[in-house]
Amino acid sequence: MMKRETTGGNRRAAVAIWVAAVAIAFFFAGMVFCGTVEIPADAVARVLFGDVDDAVVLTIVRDVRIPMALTALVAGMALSVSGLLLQTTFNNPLAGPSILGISTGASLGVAVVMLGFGGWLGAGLGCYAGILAGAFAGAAVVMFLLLLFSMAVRGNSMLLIIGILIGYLASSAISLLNFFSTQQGVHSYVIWGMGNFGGLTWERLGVMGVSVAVCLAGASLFVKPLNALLLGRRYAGSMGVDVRRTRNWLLVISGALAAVVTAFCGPVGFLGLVMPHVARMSTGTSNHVWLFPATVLFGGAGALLCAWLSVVCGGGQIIPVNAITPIISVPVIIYVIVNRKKL
Amino acid sequence: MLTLENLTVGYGKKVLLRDVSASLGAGELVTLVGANGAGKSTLLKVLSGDLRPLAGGVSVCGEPLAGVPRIKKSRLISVVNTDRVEADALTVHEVVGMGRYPYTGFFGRLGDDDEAVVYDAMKATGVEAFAGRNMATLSDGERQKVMIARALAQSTPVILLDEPTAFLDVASRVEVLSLLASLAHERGKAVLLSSHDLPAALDLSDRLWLLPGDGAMHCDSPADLIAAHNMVMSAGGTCNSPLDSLFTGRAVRFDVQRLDFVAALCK
Repeated sequence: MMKRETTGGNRRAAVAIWVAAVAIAFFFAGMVFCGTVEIPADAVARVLFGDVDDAVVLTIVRDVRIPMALTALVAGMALSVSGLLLQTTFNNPLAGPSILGISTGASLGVAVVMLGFGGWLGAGLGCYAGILAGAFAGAAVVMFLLLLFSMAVRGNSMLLIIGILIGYLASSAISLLNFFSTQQGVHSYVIWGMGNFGGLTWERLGVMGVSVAVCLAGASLFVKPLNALLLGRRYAGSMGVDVRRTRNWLLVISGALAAVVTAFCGPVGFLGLVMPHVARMSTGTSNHVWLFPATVLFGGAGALLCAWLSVVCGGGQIIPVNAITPIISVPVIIYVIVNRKKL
Repeated sequence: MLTLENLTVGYGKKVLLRDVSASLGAGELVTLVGANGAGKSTLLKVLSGDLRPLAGGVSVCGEPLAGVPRIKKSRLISVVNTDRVEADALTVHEVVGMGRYPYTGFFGRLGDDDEAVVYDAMKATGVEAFAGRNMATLSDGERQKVMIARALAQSTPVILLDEPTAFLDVASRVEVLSLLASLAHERGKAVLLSSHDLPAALDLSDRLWLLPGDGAMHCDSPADLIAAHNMVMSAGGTCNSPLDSLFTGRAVRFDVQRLDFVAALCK
C-alpha cells in the first residue's frame, strides 16, 4: 500500500514535468513564429528547415527571435531556481530574488558601473564584463546583509520586510546616481532597467547560458541537503547536514543566478518568486528530487510565456517584460498566501 | 550511552546548571522536569551538540561528544525538537525517510534496507496508515508521531526530545509517551525527554532529572522521589522535598494522592 502511494505522487510529478517541457516547446515556437515584424509562418518554417530564400527573414529569425527566446528560457530557469533556493534556505515561501532586494542590489551594482564609471569605461552597454562584475558585487552585498539579518531577526516575515527595505535603499541609491549622471548614461540605464529579453548577441547569450548552466549544475548537487532543510535548520543539523556551509553555498549560487540574469536582462521581477510555487502546485510535492527539475522547466516556460505576451500584445512593439510578469504572478502569489495549507 | 561529566551549562555569564554529573543508559526512559527557564531546553541543546557546555563534558557511547564528527554523531543521537515543521508538501513516508539521511548516498535515494528501516519505524509509531498523506493534512499529534518515527528511522542508540507532548491533547499525549516508553523498554533506546507533565513522567519514566533552577540537578526514580517526599511530609514538612523544590517560592505544592502539583492553599 505504501509503495503504491509513493509512486502515485511521483507519477503526478512526472506528468507535471512533461507538461512543463511541452509548454516550453510551445511557447518557444510561439516566440519564433511571432514577432514585432509580421512574417508568414511558412517563410519562418522554410528558414528553420534550412531553405533560405529570404535573407531578411533569416536574419530576423536567427539573430533576433531565436536569441530572444533562448534568453527568456535561460533567464526564467535561472531566476526560478534562485527563488527556489532562497525559499528553502530561508524556509520562507515568499522569498525570491526580487522581493528580497537581491535583484535590486545587482541593479545598483550595474548602475554604479554604468553611471558612475560610464564615461570612463565607454558609455552605455559597451562593457559587459564591468556590468557583470557590478551585478555580482551588488547581489553579494545584499545577500551578505540578508544573511546577517537572518541571524538577528526572528520569524520569516521580518526578514522579508528587511529584504524589501534593502531593495528600497538600493533603489534610492540608483535614483541618486541617475540624478547626478550624464544624460546618455541615464538613457541606457533606463532602457536596461525596464527588463528585456531581447538584444543579446549569440556571443553574450553563450556567456549567459554557460554561467547559468554551471550554477544550475552546482545547485542540483544540493538536492539531498535541500530536502533536509525543509524540516528546518536544527533538524537538518541533527541529521548530519553542515547547515552553515550548505546555506552559504546555496546563497552564493542563488545570488550568482540572480546577478547573471540581472546583468544581461535587467531586473526581472516576480518570476523567481512565483515559478517555484507553480512547480510545487503542479507536482504536488516539495521533495527537491522532483521539485528542482520541475522548477527549472516551469521557470523556463513561465519566462517564455511572458516574453511571448510582451511581443504578441505589443502591436508591433515589445512591451517591457516587467509590465507582464506581475499580471501573471500576483494572482499566483495571492493564491499561495491564502491557501498555504494546500501546498 | 550518554554521560554528563561535571557539566556546566548556560549562556555566557548566565549559568543554568553547575557541575552536574549523570548518565542515561540503554533501555532507559528519563524525563527532564523543571520550571520554565530552569534550563531543560538548554541542557538538551548541549546534549545534542548544538551548544557548547561552559565547562565539563558529555560523552556518547564512550566518546567525547565534542570530538565526534557530524555524520557519526547523527548516527548516535537523534533529536525531536519544538520547531514547527513547515514541510507541508512532503508525505509522511518522505519525512520518515529523511531519517536515513546519515546513511544514504549523494542524492539521498533510499535502498531496500533503508525502506525496511523506514517501514519498521512507521509501523512502530503507528503512522504507516497515513504514510502517503502530506504533512499539511496531519493533526499536531500525528505530526509529532511522524517526527518520532523519523528519529527512529535514524537508527540511533540515543533519542532526545524537547517537550514532545506540548500542544497535544490528552489522548495524543498518552500515546506519544507510551510510544517513547516502548522504544526504551522494547528496543533498548536511551530516551531523554523534557516535559511539564509530571503525573505522566512519574508514571512512565524509569528516572526523573529534576531541575530546581538553582544550578543543581536531582536524579532519582519516581518511587524514590515519592518516598522521599512522604518522608519529608511525615517529618512535619519543615524542609522541601526534591519534588517540592522544583517550584520553591511559588504558590504550589506537590500532592502525593494526585501525583501532581496543586495550589498551595487548598487541600
